[in-house]
Amino acid sequence: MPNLKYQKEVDEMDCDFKGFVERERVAFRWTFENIDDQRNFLPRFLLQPKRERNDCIGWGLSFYTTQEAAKKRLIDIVGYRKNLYKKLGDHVAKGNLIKNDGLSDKEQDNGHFTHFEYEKIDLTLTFNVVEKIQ
Amino acid sequence: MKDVTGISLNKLPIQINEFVGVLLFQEFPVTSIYTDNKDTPIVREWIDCDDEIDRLLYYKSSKQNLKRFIEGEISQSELVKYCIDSLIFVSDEKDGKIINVSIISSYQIPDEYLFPEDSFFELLNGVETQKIIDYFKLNSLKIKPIKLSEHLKKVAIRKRSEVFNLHLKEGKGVGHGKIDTDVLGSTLLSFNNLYKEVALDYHFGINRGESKIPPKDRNQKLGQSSTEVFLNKAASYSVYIKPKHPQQLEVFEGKRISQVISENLLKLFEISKEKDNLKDNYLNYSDFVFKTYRIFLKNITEYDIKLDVDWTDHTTNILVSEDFTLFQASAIIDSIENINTEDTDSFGAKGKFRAINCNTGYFTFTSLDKQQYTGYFDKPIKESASSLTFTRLYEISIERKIIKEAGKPNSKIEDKIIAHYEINE
Repeated sequence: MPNLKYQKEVDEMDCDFKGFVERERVAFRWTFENIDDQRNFLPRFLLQPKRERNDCIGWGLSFYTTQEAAKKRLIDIVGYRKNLYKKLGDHVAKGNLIKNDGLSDKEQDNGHFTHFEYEKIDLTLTFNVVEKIQ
Repeated sequence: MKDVTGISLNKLPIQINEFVGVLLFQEFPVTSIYTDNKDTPIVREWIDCDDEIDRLLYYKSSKQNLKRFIEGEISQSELVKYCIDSLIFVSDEKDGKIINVSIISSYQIPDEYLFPEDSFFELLNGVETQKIIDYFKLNSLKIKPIKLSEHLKKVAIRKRSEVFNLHLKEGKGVGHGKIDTDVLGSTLLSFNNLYKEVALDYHFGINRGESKIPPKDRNQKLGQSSTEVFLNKAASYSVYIKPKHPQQLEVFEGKRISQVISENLLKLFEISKEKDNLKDNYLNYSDFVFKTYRIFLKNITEYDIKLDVDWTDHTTNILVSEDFTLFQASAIIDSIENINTEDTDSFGAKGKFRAINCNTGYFTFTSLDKQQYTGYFDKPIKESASSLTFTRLYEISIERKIIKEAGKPNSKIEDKIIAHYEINE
């Protein structure tokens, strides 16, 4: 199995990858307008203070199984904090995750799942922006 | 970003000892919990940003208010408002390093940064909720309960719907924060079925048993008329229920359909508490409603439950409360069973007898139009039954009693022959 993109950081934590397997699925993620924007596929931990990095799930990327679920969740989280779009993105991108892209878990009731990319994977090549949220 | 006026510092004037966990959200940590060296919770809220700077609010909260927030009793807006010392620290940070801190009062938060009144915590959005609960031992913390009316009202506003609270206070298998599955299951099911029947009364009228409602229409209305559980509380065991599809459209007098249905249900509870009142209003509900109401009440008697049903709505200040005990439920069941209506009708039929029991006076008669009648001869003419034959044609006069018992959708029919004449074929 290839290394994960943040393998070094993951190795420093006590990680449980139970339920994470290589899957093929259509996936949706919040992005900025330009799919090549370097912020688009950054894990949550890079947006968070180092002291809060205590659970290795934060080295994964958040995706949704449907466009509607991705849109709804983004709108719910941003709520009245309109500038949060500047951090999370204000568009939804769609792409196909294939087994060679990495490991992901089963989706939750709200359609969210976490995906750990393998190293050298560039999802900007397979994802396209499909909707503007704001 | 909004300019914030307050005492300006270059570092936080509170000591942050330890990071406890992220409360909201998994995708981005908007709300995180820290602690100082006295184990006082410190809340860190992401609030704003520009291209380089993140703006965060830090404030100390009591463990009690943190517990209330996690349990959905107070909103995030109240969590901030009731912070310790009423002090909020607005911190501008770049790459996690503090650039500037402004100290403001919790009552001086700029409007742009105020949480909405309905910003309640949803368990599904929680990230390290259990870790936070365990760290501060929130489960063992005793807090003064907030008034039910206030809490229910808040919940209704938050859900933008009417809300029922089924509070199972005592009973077999009912404990503080736990309840036997069968008790909860049958209580919820019987309540939901009752709610649905009251809704169908509204949509199709109380005589709907006699009219043919297309299954598609019925199923559509049924689908719109179910309830859903959205919150459980340990008190002893409290379940919050709301219509699954609360209609927002006003239909008349500023009321919505779901509101009218709830009102009809609560009125049923109210009128049934007094026997005479129930008798006077009996015809306002269908027998289907009374049948499901009896099942709801039987459930209360079977498990010896003390049940409070509270209701409020996000558009009104009214709180309706009805309580049920084994004694009350039994009394209502008796009242329902004692309400029968009886109609009498008379008509004639031509045909032949098919069976006669001269001892009991029981008969079977088939009319020329193939209708079959069964019943008894009226006492004064019972003896004449022995002179009748099965081959001759008769005209009979029947007195029919239609007895409708509350809670039983089908009427009972009693036919009695009061006269018979032989006629020519």
